[in-house]
Amino acid sequence: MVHKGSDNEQSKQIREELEELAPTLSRLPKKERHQVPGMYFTTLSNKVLNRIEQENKPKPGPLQILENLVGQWISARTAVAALSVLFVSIIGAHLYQAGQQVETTHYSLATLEYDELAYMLTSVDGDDLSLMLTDNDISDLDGEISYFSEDAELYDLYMNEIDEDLIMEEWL
Amino acid sequence: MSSIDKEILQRFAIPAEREAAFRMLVDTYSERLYYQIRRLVDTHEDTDDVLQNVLVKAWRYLGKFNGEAALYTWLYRIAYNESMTYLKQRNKRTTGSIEDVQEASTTEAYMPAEDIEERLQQAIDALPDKQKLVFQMRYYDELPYEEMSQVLGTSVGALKASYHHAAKKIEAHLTGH
Repeated sequence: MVHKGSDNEQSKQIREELEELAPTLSRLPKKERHQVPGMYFTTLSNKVLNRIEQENKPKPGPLQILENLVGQWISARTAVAALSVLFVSIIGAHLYQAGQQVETTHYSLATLEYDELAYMLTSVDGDDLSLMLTDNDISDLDGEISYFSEDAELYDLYMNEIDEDLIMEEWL
Repeated sequence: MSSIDKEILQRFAIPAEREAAFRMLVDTYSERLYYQIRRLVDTHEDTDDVLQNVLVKAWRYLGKFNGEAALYTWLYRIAYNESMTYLKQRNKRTTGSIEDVQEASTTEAYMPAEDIEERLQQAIDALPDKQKLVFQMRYYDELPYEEMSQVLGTSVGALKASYHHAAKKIEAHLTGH
């Protein structure tokens, strides 16, 4: 398509200017060399208005994104509730595990090797060790498999509140 | 400002008539804008992309259009800017430099051509980018220098000089001098 100018006067002025500058060119018919697919211009306004509508749609928030991800079979609220339950369960399990580990540490002393126990007694302060084990613990250990019950000397050593110098002399 | 421009602007200001006013704008100006863009970006697909961008911008900013220039001049300016943005992006994507492309097209442009119309297109293609744009705006779109000046941000004097140079080069190519 060649635009014929907003008014004839303008068109005439441009033609005269061109005749003066380039006579051969001014005699050529003005033709657009490009082809346009049929119906392109009749469908263009709808295409553009649809695009504008799409661009103006509000962008989904995090809850909507979650809802889209989870799908139609489960609502966002249910998904949030399920995640909360899962979270509480994980925290509960973690805390339970931590409690179990305290118990494990407590009894693991009874499984120490002789050399390991001697090392502990030399490296741990007597006050600290007495905080770690109570009299009841010692009694319990006494009834179970314990180096204390097997070796009266070691038991006495502990009961006399650990003398590091003595341990050094006796065991190392 | 033409009566159709006034009508488009008045109706666009009324929310209920906004869409109808926009359709009127598209019907009135899209064909001229299409060819303006197509002369710069070549393929139909790219022209379609650029033209849609132009019209989306027109929808967004038409409410702020102050009416100082003709509506087409305003649209033409948006189309020109969008086309330039597109060309810059395309040039970044291509591996060869812009100079390579220009050199190749120039070489091709001066190959012998039997058909006078083909010779005309070759002569236009061989012009430097800015001169080519000025020539097309004046020759095909018949824009007054004042409007071209508003679109391109160049003085009327410089535009006249550019158009005269372009027209003389094309004439020389057509006549073989």
